[in-house]
Amino acid sequence: MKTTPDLEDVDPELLELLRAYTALDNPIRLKAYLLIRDSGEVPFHEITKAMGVESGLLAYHLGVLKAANIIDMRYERVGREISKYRLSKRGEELYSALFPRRTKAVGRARKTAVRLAAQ
Amino acid sequence: MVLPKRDPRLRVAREQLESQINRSRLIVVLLGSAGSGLDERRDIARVLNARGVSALVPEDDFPADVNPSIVERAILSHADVDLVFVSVRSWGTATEFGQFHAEPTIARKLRVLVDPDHHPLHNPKHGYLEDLYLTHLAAYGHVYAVDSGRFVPVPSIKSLVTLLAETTRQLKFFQQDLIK
Repeated sequence: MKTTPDLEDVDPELLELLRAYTALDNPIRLKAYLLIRDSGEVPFHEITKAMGVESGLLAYHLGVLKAANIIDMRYERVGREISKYRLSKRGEELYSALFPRRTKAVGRARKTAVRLAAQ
Repeated sequence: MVLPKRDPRLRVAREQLESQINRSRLIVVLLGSAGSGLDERRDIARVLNARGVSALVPEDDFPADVNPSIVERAILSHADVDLVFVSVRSWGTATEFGQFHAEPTIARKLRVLVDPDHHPLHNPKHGYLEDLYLTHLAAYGHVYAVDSGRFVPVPSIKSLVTLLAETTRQLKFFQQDLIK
């Protein structure tokens, strides 16, 4: 049987980046990624509500983000088991690299909110 | 909430990266049975992920909040998945195969992995499932006999061509939508 060609010539970091770009180059996944980033940690049902996307389809898209190591998922038991999402370390790094202006703007908005709250 | 358009910077970055490494993006879903079947799929996902392929194992990557059948229906209708591998080793996975086979959009993306004892080209046994495999094989191809190194009988060119031609002729007459 023919064997699979090896990928020794390709930097593993680039292959990981390809999975990340694959995940983010889709409007639903990008929106979910930004929503999770802005929320800190958010349960699945709240993402569904905020995005207005059918839950089965959203589950698939979050799966693609998770498989790309961009988001982490954990289960919490609140009567029944619910899944909660947050950005992974890799997801945070990508955010700073892909959205530098947005990172600064969100940082400024957070500082303003803290200053206003202190007044 | 209005969804944003695709971010053109991300598309450009992805396309540049694809040109650099001479490989395209790919999203695959690995369906199959639980137990050792799940361990095997996790192992395959690790290998594919290391190769830059986005490989999803539903039990690990989809939230338990949604029933698997609902996620599968969504994959059938809307998702940008490239390939769906289904390893048929249980009645549950046979049902999944039947569901995907019936939807022409996803059936083209389906890669069906079956035991040689149930593959229509390697075993003349003829039950309902074997018949469905043969229909899928004639309409879309991609039904593979898999095992760990077992040698199985293979058909002659004459019997293979005759079987596929006759099955396709029946499909053309009874289920034209499958071979459009």
